[in-house]
Amino acid sequence: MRSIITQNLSRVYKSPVEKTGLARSAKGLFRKEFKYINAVTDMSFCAEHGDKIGILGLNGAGKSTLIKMLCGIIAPTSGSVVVGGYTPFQKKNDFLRLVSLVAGNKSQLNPDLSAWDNFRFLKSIYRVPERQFSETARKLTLLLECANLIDKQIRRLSFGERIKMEIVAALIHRPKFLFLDEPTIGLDVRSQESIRKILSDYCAEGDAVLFVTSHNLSDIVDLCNRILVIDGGTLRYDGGLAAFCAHYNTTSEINIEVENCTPRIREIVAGTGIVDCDFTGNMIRIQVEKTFITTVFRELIQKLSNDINKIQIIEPRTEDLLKELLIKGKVK
Amino acid sequence: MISIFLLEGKKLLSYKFQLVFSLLHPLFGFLVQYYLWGALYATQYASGMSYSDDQMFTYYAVASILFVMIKTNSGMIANEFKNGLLDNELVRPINLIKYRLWRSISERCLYTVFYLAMLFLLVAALKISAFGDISLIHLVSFVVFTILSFLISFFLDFITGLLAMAIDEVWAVQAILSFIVNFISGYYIPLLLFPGHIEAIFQFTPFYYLFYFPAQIFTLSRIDQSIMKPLLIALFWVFALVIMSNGICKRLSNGYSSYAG
Ligand SMILES: Nc1ncnc2c1ncn2[C@@H]1O[C@H](COP(=O)(O)OP(=O)(O)O)[C@@H](O)[C@H]1O
Ligand SMILES: [Mg+2]
Repeated sequence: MRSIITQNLSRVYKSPVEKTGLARSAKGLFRKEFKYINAVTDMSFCAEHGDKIGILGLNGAGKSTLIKMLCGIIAPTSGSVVVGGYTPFQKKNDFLRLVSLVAGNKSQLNPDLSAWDNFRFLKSIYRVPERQFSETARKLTLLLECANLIDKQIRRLSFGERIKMEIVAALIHRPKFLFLDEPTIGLDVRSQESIRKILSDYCAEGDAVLFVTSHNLSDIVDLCNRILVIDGGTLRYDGGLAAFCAHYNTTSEINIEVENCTPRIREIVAGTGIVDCDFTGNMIRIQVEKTFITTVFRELIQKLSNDINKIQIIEPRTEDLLKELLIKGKVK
Repeated sequence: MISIFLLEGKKLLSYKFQLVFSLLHPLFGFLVQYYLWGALYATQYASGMSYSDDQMFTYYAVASILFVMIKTNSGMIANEFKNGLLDNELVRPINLIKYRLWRSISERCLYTVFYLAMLFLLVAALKISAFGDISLIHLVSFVVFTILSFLISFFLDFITGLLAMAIDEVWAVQAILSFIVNFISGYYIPLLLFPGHIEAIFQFTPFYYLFYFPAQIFTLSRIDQSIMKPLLIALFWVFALVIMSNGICKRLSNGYSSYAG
């Protein structure tokens, strides 16, 4: 069953143009000028139960906007979105009981109450049975090593501690759709890992649909089986993470360490069928088309056998690959 | 519902100083009026007044209690809306208005209990003779009209808050509006002292039921007159304001744009 379907989903923000200078801003009191920002444009995709989707894109790409439309906080300007059979923006209670949102930069908890009181409050508005509630709360706080902080006012928690509480709070009503907008910003490595573990366990248990945006690419690689790459509000890639890498990862790298990088060596290297190479000191980094890698490798060994100290083939890590693609904007 | 009510109380009690200090404002307000009118009644100008001095003190004492009972901050939604702070409520199965209503009820119950204690101490300390003879029927009708007054105040504040937002300068507009509302609802000066037929006209507005009418129940024993007409008018306003609030709230949430993050 398709649980999320969007069709030509778009969102345009209208924001007043701030005038500089007193006279002009006084004029602005009476007549406002607006500028329109296309935050999300014509996005169409589907998701099924069990999908764990990473949303990738640079700052301002429209990731948060997309998530807010999926969980019904803001209305699309045009196009349609259906989540679990509901139109999110109608905000039916039955729909809202199925979703959960964690946004790293915006607290979903009441800062004046303790985490425990917040959890009790959520329990009552989502009508979570007592047993399920205490089980979930205890298990999760133990896993996240924050059980001792549970009676502290949220505002007195450190940032990382608060995020952990937000994650627990998000899972208390066992949502079917879990939206995480940069959940691991500002967390130490250990906390990041425990959060990832909890999330992947949660997804493995049920058949929740998970959406994560993160600039921490390890989150995506660890958690997701599918990615959406967004650039300037448009969807550039939608598919499996592995397929994405295979598709864009067409070159491998050969690293050679030589005694002395003479012009003769440079010539030989340039003569083999390579895409690009880079000489720094006695290190040579060569980019080679995947299909030719063995031929090039063999050729280099034959011709340079006396000069080579060390030679190795380097497969790029998925994170690095994603990073490079995002920065160079190579995604087409 | 109950959990919202209890948690709000718990939250407020964790700021006890804030609670007590915010109550000093109406208490001093009452004191000022007490000395002001006390001085006036000591002169010959007071001879033609519609109230006796005791009635005047009673009026201001009740008005100050009402001030504490019905002062809500439902208009704050305007700021939250403007600053994109509603994400958290919009993504949960709670109703924006009901959630605020229950929190306000909880808050006002707590404040009222504290204020009554403070006012009682003050009245006892200064030996102010107010609240002559209170019958049960006065008390009951006072409670009924106070509830209506609270609801009118809550929704009025909610609506003016949202309207103020449309003009973009939330704070200034809200401050002016709240002054005007307090004035024409008799918080500063009883409407009876206004010239001409103002009272007769004002009884059809919602403001009349905020301070003036409930305070009059004790002051002039208004209960002897027909209570049906004011009750119906006040009820009408509550319904009208609820419907307006819902409408505006719905319209606005379509335009909600959160903020970038
Ligand atoms: N409430 C808003 N009003 C006006 N413009 C906005 C608003 N929210 C976001 N934007 C703009 O929309 C674009 C996408 O924002 P966002 O979805 O937050 O990006 P991301 O989360 O990918 O960094 C940005 O250019 C941002 O400036
Ligand atoms: Mg964002």
